[in-house]
Amino acid sequence: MQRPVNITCVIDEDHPVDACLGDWVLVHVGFAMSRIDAQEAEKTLALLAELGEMQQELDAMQSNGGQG
Amino acid sequence: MNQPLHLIDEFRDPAKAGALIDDIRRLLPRIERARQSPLQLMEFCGGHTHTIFRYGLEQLLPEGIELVHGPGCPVCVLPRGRVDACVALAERPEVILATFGDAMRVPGSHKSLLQAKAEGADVRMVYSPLDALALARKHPERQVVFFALGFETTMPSTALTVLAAAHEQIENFSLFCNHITTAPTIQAVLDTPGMVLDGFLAPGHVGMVIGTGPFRSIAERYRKPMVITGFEPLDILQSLWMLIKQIAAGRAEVENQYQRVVRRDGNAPGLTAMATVFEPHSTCQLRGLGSIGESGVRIRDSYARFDAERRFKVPDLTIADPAACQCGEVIKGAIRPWQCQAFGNSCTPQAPLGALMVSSEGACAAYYNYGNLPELLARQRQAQQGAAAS
Repeated sequence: MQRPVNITCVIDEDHPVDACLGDWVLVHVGFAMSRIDAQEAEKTLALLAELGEMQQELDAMQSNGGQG
Repeated sequence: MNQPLHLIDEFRDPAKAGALIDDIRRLLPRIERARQSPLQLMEFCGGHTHTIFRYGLEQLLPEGIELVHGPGCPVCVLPRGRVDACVALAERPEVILATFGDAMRVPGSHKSLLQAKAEGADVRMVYSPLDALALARKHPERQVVFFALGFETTMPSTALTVLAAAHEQIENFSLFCNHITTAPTIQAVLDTPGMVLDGFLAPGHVGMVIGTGPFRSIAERYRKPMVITGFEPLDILQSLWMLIKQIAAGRAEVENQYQRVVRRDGNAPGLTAMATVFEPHSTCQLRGLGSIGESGVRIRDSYARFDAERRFKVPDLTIADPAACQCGEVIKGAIRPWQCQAFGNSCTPQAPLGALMVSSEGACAAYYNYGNLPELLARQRQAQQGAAAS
């Protein structure tokens, strides 16, 4: 789908119009409202992956404890 | 270019969801309060309600956690009198009334905008307020009124549209302004007598605009933990997990789960546009919550020519909800949708009596579309028979 989007809310001196090419943005009612920070997304997902690993270790410890 | 996976699909990963739920299960027994009665956690935003139902998240949670569906759905809290006023505007022969799709079906006391359209009113569904402005450019002989509603998420877009109209000197465009602000609405929920809430999932897209500060003052004042939350299933589960960790540790802080979108200070250009065009309104009526001080906004005098209520004579009506309709009680979390006698009977998504059945973000529509309807209706009948017997 292609639609024109207003980018007033995602540009400033540090991130001018030219810098927006390739940006992933959150669009609400025709306005880009936030540049999605891929690094922050990765951090969140890494934290959740770590939690999963921790849980597996806990489970392993518990089942070992049960046997011993 | 393809959608990068890490922005959407990975926030729906069942393995990570399982890890979060396991850890919630591990933490819950440590919370004394949860052992006496379930923790009541409110998702304020209708967008969150929608995700919770669409992915069946409630069923994944252990006993000891109850989700309370909050009032954060703009069309759901719109009083009937405002719908009637909007219908009256739409029925003026010179007016083209432009609005978002879900606002068209909200019942007023006589009709909805959709019914007014069927009777000949010129009502147009638009995707963006900029589309309404384009209609004004295209039809200089008509008056285009945009039915502006929504929390702070939507306010920058309407403010920027008014600024564009002023810049281009488009004189046949105006707003029927029904915007509401989030913080006073959350406070009204917390001030409701008998309300027992242990924590909040705070609305991520509102946070994207206003930043984390306004939530911080509520969390401090009411000693309630809050987590600013994204809209994918993992976002919601992670935020519930963060809330439960806070409760277990006796903390009541504002945390930001939606780091990839929400910045501490919000969106500066959006906030500037809002402050330029709008000012706080003394009070605002919300369905179910009554009058809330400082919860509304209105157009500043310097942009008065874009205010439909000053351009046209708009009736100022206060009209009670239909007697059978208990939207107000549902919005406050006092009852569940199926506990309303109208639910699934005189009120369905095809023929809604109350606004909560209209919007896909409304709690009643979510229960109706995604819940186990026969079971809910059976519970409703049982409760009815129990009440009749006693």
